[in-house]
Amino acid sequence: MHVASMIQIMVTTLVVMACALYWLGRLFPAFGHRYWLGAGTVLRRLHAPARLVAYATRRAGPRARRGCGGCSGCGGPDARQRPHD
Amino acid sequence: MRLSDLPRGADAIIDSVNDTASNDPVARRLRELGFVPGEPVRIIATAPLGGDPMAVRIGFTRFALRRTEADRVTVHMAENPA
Amino acid sequence: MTTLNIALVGNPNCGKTALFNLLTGSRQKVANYAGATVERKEGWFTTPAGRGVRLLDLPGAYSLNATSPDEAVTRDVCAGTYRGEAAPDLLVCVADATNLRLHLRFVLEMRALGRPVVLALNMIDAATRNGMEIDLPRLQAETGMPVIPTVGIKRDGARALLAQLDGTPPPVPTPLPPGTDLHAMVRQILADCVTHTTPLSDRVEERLDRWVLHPVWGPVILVVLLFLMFQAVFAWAQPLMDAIDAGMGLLGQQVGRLLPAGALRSLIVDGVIAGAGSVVTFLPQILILFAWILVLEESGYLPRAAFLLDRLMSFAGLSGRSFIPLLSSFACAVPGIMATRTIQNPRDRLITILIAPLMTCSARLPVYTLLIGAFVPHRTVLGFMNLQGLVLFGLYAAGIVSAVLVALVLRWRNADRREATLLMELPAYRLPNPRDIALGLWERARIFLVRVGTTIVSLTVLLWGLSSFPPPPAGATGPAIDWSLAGRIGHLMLPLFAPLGFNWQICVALIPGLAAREVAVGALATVYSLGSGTDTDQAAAQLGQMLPTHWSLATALSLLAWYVYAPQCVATLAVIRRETTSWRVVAVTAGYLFGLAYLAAFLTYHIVRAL
Repeated sequence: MHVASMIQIMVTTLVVMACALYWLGRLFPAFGHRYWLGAGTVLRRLHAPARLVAYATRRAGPRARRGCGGCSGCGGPDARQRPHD
Repeated sequence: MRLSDLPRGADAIIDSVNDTASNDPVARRLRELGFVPGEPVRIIATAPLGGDPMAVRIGFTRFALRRTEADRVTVHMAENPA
Repeated sequence: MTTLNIALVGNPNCGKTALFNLLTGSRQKVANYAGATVERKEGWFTTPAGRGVRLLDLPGAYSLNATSPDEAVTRDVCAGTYRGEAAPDLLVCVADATNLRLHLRFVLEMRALGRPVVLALNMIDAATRNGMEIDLPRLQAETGMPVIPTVGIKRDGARALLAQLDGTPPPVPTPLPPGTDLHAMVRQILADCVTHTTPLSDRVEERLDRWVLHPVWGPVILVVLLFLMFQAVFAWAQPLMDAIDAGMGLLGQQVGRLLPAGALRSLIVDGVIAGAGSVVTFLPQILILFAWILVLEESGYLPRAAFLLDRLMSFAGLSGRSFIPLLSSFACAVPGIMATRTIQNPRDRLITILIAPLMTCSARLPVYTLLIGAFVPHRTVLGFMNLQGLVLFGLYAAGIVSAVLVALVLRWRNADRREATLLMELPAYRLPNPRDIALGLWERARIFLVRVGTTIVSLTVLLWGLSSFPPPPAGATGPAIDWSLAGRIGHLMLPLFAPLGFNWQICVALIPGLAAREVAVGALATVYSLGSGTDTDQAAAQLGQMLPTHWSLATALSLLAWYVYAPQCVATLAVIRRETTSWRVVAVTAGYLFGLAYLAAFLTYHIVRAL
């Protein structure tokens, strides 16, 4: 098989796996939470750049409930600026 | 007469708001919103298909309310429309 | 300097939220009050002097005598008795300067709390325009608290308020003697401090409401507005959508030429561009729908529509109060269902929640438009009405009529003797600010694109993956996709859906469609694009042209009927769970909706086939 096609297959597999993991994280937030916690610890041990560690820690933190973010119809209950109230 | 008896365009003065039961929350809310004795009120509209609900103007505020809610308000006709 | 803790409080429709947004900008956090389903809005800003301020936007309340959970929260937080909330250092009571007769009463109630209060006299510009002159120092003296003019919708409208915050803190106002007639006091204050130069009858509301609330013209205006909305959504968006469509096609071709044939090219062309690209095409349409909804909301027209429709809604067992949550559901059922918190009657609230998913949400639009555009001919009915627009209107009407029927059934099963209250304020008319509308649309577009970029692209990629592997065994006939995992799943589901006229491609598309309704469009694009051979360099943005050659009219209409009812949106079910704290309600909702969807699709398919 050509090297080019092999690279293509590897890249596409990685992309598909990334999407699968993304969805697993969304469907099972507890799973995702543990993952980011672990990732943060590993990055810190490896002395990764501070911003990377901060990012991982932030992803593991509790989420402010902004609606559900699961649809294009709202950005949360405050998305529409109502002049009343 | 009651607020709910008034036709569209009528001007009246409020006499009182009466509770239908003890501690009627609707009556209390009506009083808080400005339905108080001596206040002029005007019927600005009645809904299509039966005239319920009705829209009234009290002070500078306009409200929509059901006839059953307006039943609690007793009024008398005003001589000089606002 | 310690952080100042401020609470914004006031009657509904006083413009408090605009002021809140003006002060805090994007530094806001929305959550719930501990132990309640009442929304908690918190924001932060710094005063010119550098002092940090934490601002709470409390729910609008007409009185401290609470009649709803929202008002109870406001009362308790102001008094400092809400568990888990720090007592505010300062209460900023916002009042609409054009409606002081109503709002001042609540301001006076604030004096009983024993906390520092200032009165933010909002919409002072509208008051001046309406010919009102307010003697501010006298008002200050008679209300017993500092009075600060604000204009929530102007960029520097909070300047005076910020100056006040940086100055000396106001004293606690002297409480009024118990049993004071607040209304009489308000009347006295208004007589002393406010002069009118414009007679009441010239006000905008008077003139407009004469027509808008007219027994005959009112409904006519409403129907015309709705009709215009539908024509706009279908017709006006077309040129833009065609442009995006063509753009996607071009992009697919270019990429197809750049990359060598293989997995990656297929992923990008058949997966991402075909899938996500076909959904992006619908952005103009969604924006037009939202533009209408925003304008209607901001103008103050909606409560009048609720007034006109209340009778019809009570026939269905609902009150006019359900109107605004149900109307919000036309954009997306999620905020609509959350808006049902304002409905006090628990039975009414539950019924409203149960029928909210039947309101045609904006995510259904791409599916409807795709199918209508592909299968309904371009024709004019009665000389001016677009047949396609009419069918779209018909789909919306089907949702509404079904909702009414469901509500009737639910009411018949749960008769409630309790009085249905309406008592709703008809707020002032406002000319929608183009800048606010533009900001709202920009926000909506951003959210849509983010959703496409994350949810839809990732789902399409996953679907592509499932549709491309495993490769067909040697010597197999038919397109490769039939043999893939997705193909097998589709064929597995087929017996269940064949009576509806669905083919296996539709079955496959429905699965990711559970996460987001519009994904079905992208999924179909991907599935058909792959099915037509991976060496094609056209992106299946031409899905609309391809479908009529593969599907019968009966299948297309059956799928439309399915989409009117099916709860293809886990987000909706999730928010129902959150708002009702009951899995049973979620199960009932999903159950009855899928049941109706199946029935409707079944009937449609067989009736159309027989014709």
